[in-house]
Order: sequence, then structure tokens, then C-alpha cells
Amino acid sequence: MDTQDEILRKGHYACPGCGLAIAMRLVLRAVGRKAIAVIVPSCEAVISGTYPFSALEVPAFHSAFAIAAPTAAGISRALKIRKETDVTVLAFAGDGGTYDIGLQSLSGAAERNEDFIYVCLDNEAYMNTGIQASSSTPPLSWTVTTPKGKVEKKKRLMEIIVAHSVPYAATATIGYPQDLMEKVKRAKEFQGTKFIHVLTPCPTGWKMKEELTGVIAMLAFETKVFPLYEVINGEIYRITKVPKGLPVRDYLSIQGRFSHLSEDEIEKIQQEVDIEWERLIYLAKRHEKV
Amino acid sequence: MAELLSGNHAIAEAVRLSKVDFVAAYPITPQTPIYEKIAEMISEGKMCGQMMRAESEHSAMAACISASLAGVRVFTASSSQGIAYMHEMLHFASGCRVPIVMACVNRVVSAPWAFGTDQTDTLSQRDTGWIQLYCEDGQEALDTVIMAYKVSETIFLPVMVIIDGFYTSHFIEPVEIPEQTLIDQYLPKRNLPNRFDLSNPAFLQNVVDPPNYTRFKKRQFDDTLKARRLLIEADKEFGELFGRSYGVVEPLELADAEIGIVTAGSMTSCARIAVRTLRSKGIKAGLLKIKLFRPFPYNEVARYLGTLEKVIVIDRNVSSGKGGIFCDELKASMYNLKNRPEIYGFIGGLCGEDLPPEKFEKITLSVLRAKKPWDVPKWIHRMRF
Amino acid sequence: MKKHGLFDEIMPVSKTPTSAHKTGLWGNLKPLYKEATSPCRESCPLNTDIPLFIFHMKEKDLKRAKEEILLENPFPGISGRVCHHPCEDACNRRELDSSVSVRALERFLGDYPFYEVPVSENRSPKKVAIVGSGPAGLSCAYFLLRLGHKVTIFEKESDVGGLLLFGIPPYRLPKNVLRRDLHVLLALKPQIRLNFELTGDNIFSLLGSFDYVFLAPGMGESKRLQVAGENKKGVYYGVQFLKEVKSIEDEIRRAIVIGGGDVAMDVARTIRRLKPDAKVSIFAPEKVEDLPALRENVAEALEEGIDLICGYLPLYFEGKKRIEAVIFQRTEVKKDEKTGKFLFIPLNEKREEAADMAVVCIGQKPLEASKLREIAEEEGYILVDHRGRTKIERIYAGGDIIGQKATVSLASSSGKRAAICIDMDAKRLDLPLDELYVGSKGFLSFKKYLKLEKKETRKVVGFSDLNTLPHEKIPRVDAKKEEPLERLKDFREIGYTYTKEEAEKESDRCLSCGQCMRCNLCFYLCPDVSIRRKADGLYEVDEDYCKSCGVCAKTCPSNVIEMVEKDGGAFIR
Repeated sequence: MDTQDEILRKGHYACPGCGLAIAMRLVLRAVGRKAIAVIVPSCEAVISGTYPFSALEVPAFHSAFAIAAPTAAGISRALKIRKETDVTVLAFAGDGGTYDIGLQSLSGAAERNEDFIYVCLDNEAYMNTGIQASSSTPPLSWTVTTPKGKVEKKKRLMEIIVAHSVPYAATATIGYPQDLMEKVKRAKEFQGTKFIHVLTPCPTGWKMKEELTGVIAMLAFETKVFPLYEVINGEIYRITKVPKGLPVRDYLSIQGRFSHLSEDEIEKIQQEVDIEWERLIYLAKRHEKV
Repeated sequence: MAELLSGNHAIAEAVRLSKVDFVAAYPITPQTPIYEKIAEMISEGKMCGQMMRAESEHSAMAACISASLAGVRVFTASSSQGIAYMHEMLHFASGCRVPIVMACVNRVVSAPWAFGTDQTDTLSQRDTGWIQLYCEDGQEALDTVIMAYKVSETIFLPVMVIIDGFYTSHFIEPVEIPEQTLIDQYLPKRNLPNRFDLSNPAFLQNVVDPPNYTRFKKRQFDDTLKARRLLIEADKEFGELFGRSYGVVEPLELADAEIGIVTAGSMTSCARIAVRTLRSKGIKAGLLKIKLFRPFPYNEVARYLGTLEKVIVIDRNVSSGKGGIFCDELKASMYNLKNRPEIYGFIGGLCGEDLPPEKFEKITLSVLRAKKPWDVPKWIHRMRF
Repeated sequence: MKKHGLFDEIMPVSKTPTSAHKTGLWGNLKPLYKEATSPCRESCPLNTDIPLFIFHMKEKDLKRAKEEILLENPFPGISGRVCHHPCEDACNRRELDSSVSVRALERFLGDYPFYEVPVSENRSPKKVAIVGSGPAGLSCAYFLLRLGHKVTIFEKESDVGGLLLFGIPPYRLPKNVLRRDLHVLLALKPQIRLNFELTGDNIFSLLGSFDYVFLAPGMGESKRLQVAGENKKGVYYGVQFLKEVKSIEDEIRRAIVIGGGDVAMDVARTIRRLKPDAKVSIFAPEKVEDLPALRENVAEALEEGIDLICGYLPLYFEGKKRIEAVIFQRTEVKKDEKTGKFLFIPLNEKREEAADMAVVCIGQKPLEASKLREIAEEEGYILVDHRGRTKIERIYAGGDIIGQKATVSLASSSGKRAAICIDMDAKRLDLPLDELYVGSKGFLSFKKYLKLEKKETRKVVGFSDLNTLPHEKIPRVDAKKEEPLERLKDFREIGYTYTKEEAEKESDRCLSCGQCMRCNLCFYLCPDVSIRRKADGLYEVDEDYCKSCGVCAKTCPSNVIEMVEKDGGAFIR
């Protein structure tokens, strides 16, 4: 049972407990076999296999770092020219490839509303190169390039994407696989650029036990650190699942990358998370009034 | 039927005639009129195919690569900073063995900021694995784009068709536009393979180990060398159908020459006048126009220049601390010849500075007088003749 | 494998499945699916696998759900109404919001019309006489019949049911519910002899014609206060009152009920219905939080306008022929830590309450102890060992007569114990009883006895063992209930059985402790694609690729996965 839906193959080289592998697996399951995947340098490239092996049961292309979006756009355009319109083009990129080096090219493609699903696999640092901070790294988090904790905030990527008025943008996490897969399926129904921001915990980079990947993803959501919502046409915000609002401490305290935090710093993070959540509520309600 | 066209528009016509499916480009002077003309032709229905307004040359090339992998005919054009900006993707394109044709309109690579022609932008992409074809005028550019697709789609390597900024790109000359039916005969719409085969899925271009890396690179190297022969054949066939052919190099008055001038691009036209003038004065001068730069035309260079006493190379480009790039390449390619000529390097015409026939004549006369060649090139603009 | 031809030679085109890499070699652990015991089940005297029957309900398979209940509990309709539900007190969900309404779900299934149970093949069935048809006797009969024995039930009254029939008023347990639950048992064809009076002699004559005898006569007599004026007119006793009084002719202005148990509540509520104009007060010795009656019963009594005064016991009754007042003394109830018995300590405070009638409901005792002298102790109780055996061979006993707390589920449990132990004796099976226990409370499981149990029954899953993050707070679904004034009009049953929708909603609240609910989290969250879903909805693990991360085990909301050594032993790492 189910093996016909499985597109990520066994025997890939992800670290034990890899959240990114889970996300790839779920996204691919949801997209199905009529798909072409774009992979860019990141852990996803490691997972997808080295020559002559492939961990993917769909055609895929390992492109360069900054260009997940235009690469997907090129394929999607070519398929339309070839009149193969029932194939989904899927771009996978990490947080570095999305928030940082790939942001310009993603912006260009999103503005042109190129037809593909872009999946940002966000493990909040350059994990493949050895845990260097990215603009997705959360504030105060340890990385090898922020040994005393990152000073800056995490970039509000979703708002950048939403500003492009893409038909569909959503956040998801592996902690809630059904929600994630439903969002991918939903994305397939739209023409144009669909963006799915997936939080993919990394036991290695987050300095936590391998077994915690699933639980930490749930905690990220339940503490409102990573809310789950979708935005239609850059306008209509919808909170897809309401978090319990657990204290952020529950989320931070089991990750080594936050082990240096003082009580005050935890409190500061709590306040920032609360403010962000209020923003989201505001955005979601703003639409309701219309 | 001849029309008055700029070099840029001649290239755009070639793209139309080649029935390109997908064009991704980004504006940059002096290439922009190609991009604009294609957009206009597509929007007016004169050309089928899609145009993607890329947000950068890097992305334009990225999209061209992936679209080409998916089996459609693609085109892009760029200049100067744009070519430099897509540098990473140029390597990627040749490694992916995609048949992309790119028109490059030479322009200074800043800094300092300037806009005139200078071949350094394309020559510094020498090692990216692209075939490079330097054209003298609009007609040659049009014809070469069409030939480039034929070669590119046979050997699965990308091709740059290069013209000088402003001189060629913006000068309006009568250009013969071939009949579409003849073009279709010459360049049939190939059913390019879609390398993303859903029924036989493969992961393309994933990480390889050193032996496999070397294997693929060797294959690419060998295939690049083969492109010379393919181009010769394509040129010959083109000539038979359209009455115009160019060769991979063009020799002029070299059979009995004592001294040869080597040029590439638009300066060749002035050099032709200079050779005629010198000949009329009884000086046995000749000319070799280099069209094919990569793969390097060893055989032709040896054949046409190997017996001369002196060869002058005029470079509209510079590799700082070394010399003119054509000159250096020429020297290196002839080093193993038994009776190699003395090679005299000059750098001039940078940033579109004028190189009138008189300068070629004066340079020739000065080289005839020279006792021995020099290593460091002479800069034409400071020369007193 | 088809090839692209040219492209395979000129660029990296990878098609070999990574499954060639046995990445399972990276780790020496693998998940093991092992369902375990939920605290609700452990606390249930009948050992009903509550999360399992609720799981079947979630899967909308009500037949299997009821079959699962009937494996341990013969009367889900009855216990779904009157059980003291220790399961709900033990429910892990209490730590999240409030316990699952197990009893209401059981009531729903009890009312679900499915009444067939399988009978085990038995090549040498024994004849067993069962004396008493209360919950203990009926339960013993049921399990013996399921084990293929021949059963004859002897009942003193003219109908079966015992205390279920006359000791619980119909507004809590309607007669049709009793009859409906009995369908299952009656379908197994026991012999029934009504109007059978138990005497010291006929016990032994039963032993002559039966292989085994199970005694569950219940406790026929109410305890007396032993205070002055107790025999005045107007003083009644709890169970007798419930059994015999169908109407009260006398004019009653004030009725006083003495006691804090369910009988006291039931009596008071009965009087409220018979005499709507009378003021009814309950005086209980215990503190309100320590009342032995069911919480629901107390709450409903209060709703129905009954006074509850705690901390008093009568000193004496006043009045001429008929009582006119009850004199109470303030009393403190303390539990003797050594003996576990309750001590009533009188305090120096008296209270006089006018009353036209009083009903004493301070408990029951065995009837006519002398009849059973050969078996019984002095007070009439019959002592049994941990197998339910009396001191006389082939005679077993259960129910209230053995001196346990008088609840329906404990009585049924003692009947089940005797049935299993009789079967073991008949088959000369020398099985240690603790192999039939589920959890640590010493109740026997029929499912385990039939070797149908698949779960780990020693391990009880606590709240902290669960990953409750996927669970939301959901308010308990309360079944609809009539307004108190409406209820007083007659003796019709109070409260409704869940609708299908309500039952679905409430069953969704079950945390499924130790019970795999096929939530698929383990399956979806396996980074290594090493967990397969089988056709039956369960999972299997591919050790060749499992890297031992343990995400499945840690994420499991039900704590059914444990990381154990791979069969192949340890490798790198």
C-alpha cells in the first residue's frame, strides 16, 4: 500500500532525523508523478543523490544555487510550448537559496507569475555548508558565523512573496503532514507562482536530538513561532490552524542553538513572537472586514 | 530580398527565421534592440515563440538552460556586464550540453564605465565551454545565427554569435533576408529531446566523482573540437543554398603575402581597405579574419599564416598584464610550427575608438621596418606614425 | 532501464535508485510497534479495552466496537448508565482538559443493536449452577456460556436482574435497557429457574447435580442504625424502599433520607417523584467531597430540589407512633489508615429536624446469615480466595456477598473471575492468575484468557508518555438531559444516549493511550521512507533503510512505538 505514491526513494543520504527529507517526501507525495523537480545546491541535493544514483522517481535537474525559480520557469514555459500542460514543475530551494541568493530570481519569476510551485525548505541556516547563518536564521540563534547568537531578526519572507500578489502562498511544517500535503495539492490548482514555505527542523544544525524533529516542528507551530497560514492573490490571509500558544520556552529549551539564552532573552523572543502573531491576526481580520 | 537593417535587427530577423520557441533576455546597451525587436515581432504575431522578461542575465540564461533541457529552441542576447553577470550560467550551459544560441554585442566591461565596443566581454568567457563566432557585419551575423543553431543542435553545445557594439549593432546596412522556406530546408525544426522524461525519470546534472567529472569534461572538450568541422559543413551548405559563406576564418590576399594582418569583428572591413591600398603600393600584405575563436581553428591559422614572415594581430580587447587575447592565442597556437612567423601584437580600438584603414597601413609599414617582435603589445592610440 | 542514449554519455543522467544504498546500516535501532495498556482500562474492573473500542468507533465500525466491549463486559447498556466509571477518573485526558466521557460512549454502544457473541468450542462442558441473577451471577453465567459450559441460573425473585431490577430506579436504569442487555446472555441459552429460595441445604443438593456452583445472592438486608425510635412508623430502609414502595399514601411534608450513597440519592429522588410537594432532605455522615454516591447522582438530586446536609448521623427518632423528628449528631468520618475502615466520630453538636418519614440508607448486609452457615462467616459474608473459591470445593462466590465495594462493575468482575477460574479448574489449567491481569489492579481479562490480547498489558501509558501536541483542547460532549422539573413528572429515564454525531465527536477526544489510532504520523514523518502502511492499516518497518532516528517513536501521540535493537545487531555509529 502507498508505495505507488512514494516518490522519494529509500537509501538517500540525509542525516538521521532530517526534517528536510521529510518535507521533500511529503511534497513529492502530494504533487504526484506528473512532475519535474528543480533542485539547487543545498541538503536537498545531497538527499536527491549523487551520480549515477537518484532518490527521485520524477525527472529532476540540479541547477545552480541562485536560480531555482527561473530554472523552474524555463521548464514550465517549455512544457507549455510543447503543450504538455498537465505536468507540475516544482522548485525546491533551501532558506539560503530563497531568502538570500535566490531572492532576486524568485522575485522576478513571482512578478511574472511563472507557473510552478516553489517550495522553500527552511532549516534556518546554511546547513549543507556547515551551519552558517542566513537571513532566515532566527534572532539570537547560534550558528558557526554567529557564535554569540544572531543579532538580526528573521526576514519576513512571506510578506515579500505576498507583495508579489502570487495566486497562492502558504506556510507549512512537517509537524502537520496532512496540512502540508493539502496545501501542496491546493497549490496545484492555481495557475502561476505558488509558494510554500516549509519549516524543516535540522537536528544537526539546531543541535538537538535526532528524534525531536517531528515534535520540534509541532512546537514551532504551537508556540506561534511558525504560524500556519495561506494567502490568496497576495490579499486574503487565512490562518489555517490555530496554535495553542504554548510559551516559546518550550520550543527554545530543547534546542542547543538557543542554549545560551538568558531569561531576558527568552522573554524578548516571546514578546517578538507575540507581536508577529498579532500582525498576522490583524492581516487575517483585515480581510474579514472587507 | 535586401532590407536596410542594423546588425541587431539582422540578428532579430535570424531569430525569427530560426523559429525560436523561447527567448529569455534582459535589457543592456547595446544589445537591447535585439530584445526589443523580438518582443515586437512576437507581439505583432510575426514570430511565434515566447518571450520571458528575465530580471537578470543570470536568470535569463538559467531559464534558457532549463527550457532547452525540456526540448525547445532557445535564444538570448547580451552585452558587457550582462555577459559577465551570467558567467556562472555560461559554464552551466555548456556542462548541460544545451544547444543555446546567444547573440553577444561587444561592449566594454566596466569599470571605468563606458559603452563602446570591446571584445573583452566575450573573450573573457573563453573558458566557459561555448563556441564563439565573431562576425564582421549584420549580414554575417544573421547568417551565422542560423548556422549556429544547425551546429549547436547537432553537437549539443551552446554558441555565442558576436558582433561589435554600435559599429555592427547599430549601423544600418543592406541585409539580405533569406526566404523562410529555404531556411526551413536548411534548418528544419528539429524535434529536440525533452530530457525530463516522465516515463523514464532521471536526475540530471547531479554531483559526480572525479573520474566521472573528467570523463564528462573530456567528452565536452572533444565535442567542442568537432564543432569546427560541423561549422565548416554548415557554412558550405549555407553557401550552396544562399550564396554566402564565411568559413571559420577568411583569408584575403595571403597566398603570396609577406605580411599578414589578423583581425576579428567589424575592424576587418577597414583592414580589407588597408590591404587593398598596401597592395596598390606594392606591399605584399594579406589579411586573416578570425571568425571561429572556440574551438580554436589551429589548422586554418597554420595553413594561412604559417608560411608568412610577419603577422600583425590587432586586438580590440586586453588581458591586463599579458596582451591582446587573439594575439596570445595565435602565438600559442603556432608555437609548435617549424617555420613560424614573427608575431606583432597591437591593442587598439578599445571602447569603440576608431581604427580607420590608414592606421592598419601605418601599422603594417612599421612592422615591416621592425627588426624583431615584442612581447608586450603596442598600444595603437599612443603610436606616432 | 531505458537510456537517453547520447545524453547519458555527455552529461550526468542519474537513474539508479538510491535504494541500492542500505542506509539502515547507519543505525542499530528500529521502531517496534507495541500497543500497551491505557490507564482507563487498567482501572476498569472489567478490563474493557476502552481505547480500542473507541478506535473502532472512530473508524465507524460500531459492530466491532460493541464486540470489543462484549469481550469483557456483558452489559454495556447497564454500565453505560450506572457504572462508577473509575476509567474517567484515570483518564489521561484530564491533564489536557477533562476526561473522555467513556460511560456515555459505552451507553451509546450498549444501545447499538448488536447482540451476538461467539462461543468457544468446549469438548467437555461442565454444568454450573448460578445462584442469584444480579450483575455478578449474570456475568458469571455469560462468561461460562461463552466458554461453552452449561449454565443454570437460580433466582429468588420472579424475574432475573437482582439489584439491577429493583435496586436502581428506572429513571437511572430503565427496565428495557436491562432486558436489551440481557439479549446477549439469553441468546447463549442459559437455563433459568425463578422463585428459587436459597437454603443451607439446597446448596449441597446443587453440588450433587452440578459440577460447580457460583453463589451471588447479593445482600438482602438493609443495615440498621441501631438507635432509639428506629422501629416507629414512617421509618423505612433503602433497598427495601426502592424495591417495594410504589406509592406513598400518607401525607408527607418533610422526608429525611439518611446516608451518602447511591441508594440514599435514589430514595430521595424517588420520594421527590412520589410526593412532589414534600421537602426531601438527605443527611449524610460524609463530607460532600467524600460522598460514596456517583457524582452524577448527587448532582441530579440537587438539581431536582433535594437538600443535602453533610456531616450528620441520627442519634434517635422522635414521635409517638409515627416519627415526628430526627435528632442528629454532628459526625466526622475518618478513615483508619491501618484497617482502611471508616470511623464515625461523634462531635458535640446536635440538630433536630422535623420529619414525617425517614429512610435509612446506610448500606446492606447479607440476608439471614444462618442459612449459609457452612460457607459463610459470622456476619454472613462469604470469603473467597483470589480465584473466587469459597472454602468448600467446587463452590465459588462473587458479588456484594464477598464483601467488596458494592458496584455493578466490581460485581460483574467477580462473576467473570469465577467463570474463568471454573473453566481453568475444569480444564485442569494451572495458569498463574497474574498472567490474566491487565495493569496492576488485579482484575482478570477474558480477552487475555482467550489469548486474543495483542497489547503489552504490563506497561500502563501515562500522560507524560504521550505526545499531546497534535491534540487540541475540546470540551466534553454532554448528552442532552431534560430540565429537572420535567424529570420529576415520572420515572422515565433521565438524559439521552449520544446521537451518532455526538458519539463521533466524543470518541475523537480519546487520546488513544497505548492504542495505535492509525494517525499516520510515524509513516509521514519517517525521513527515510522506511515505514510502510499495510493493507490492515498497521505499519511495518524496513530495517534496511531505517537510520534509527526515532522520530516516529518520539512523535507518536499514543506511545505505541519503542526503539529497539535491530535483529541484525549493532553497526557503525
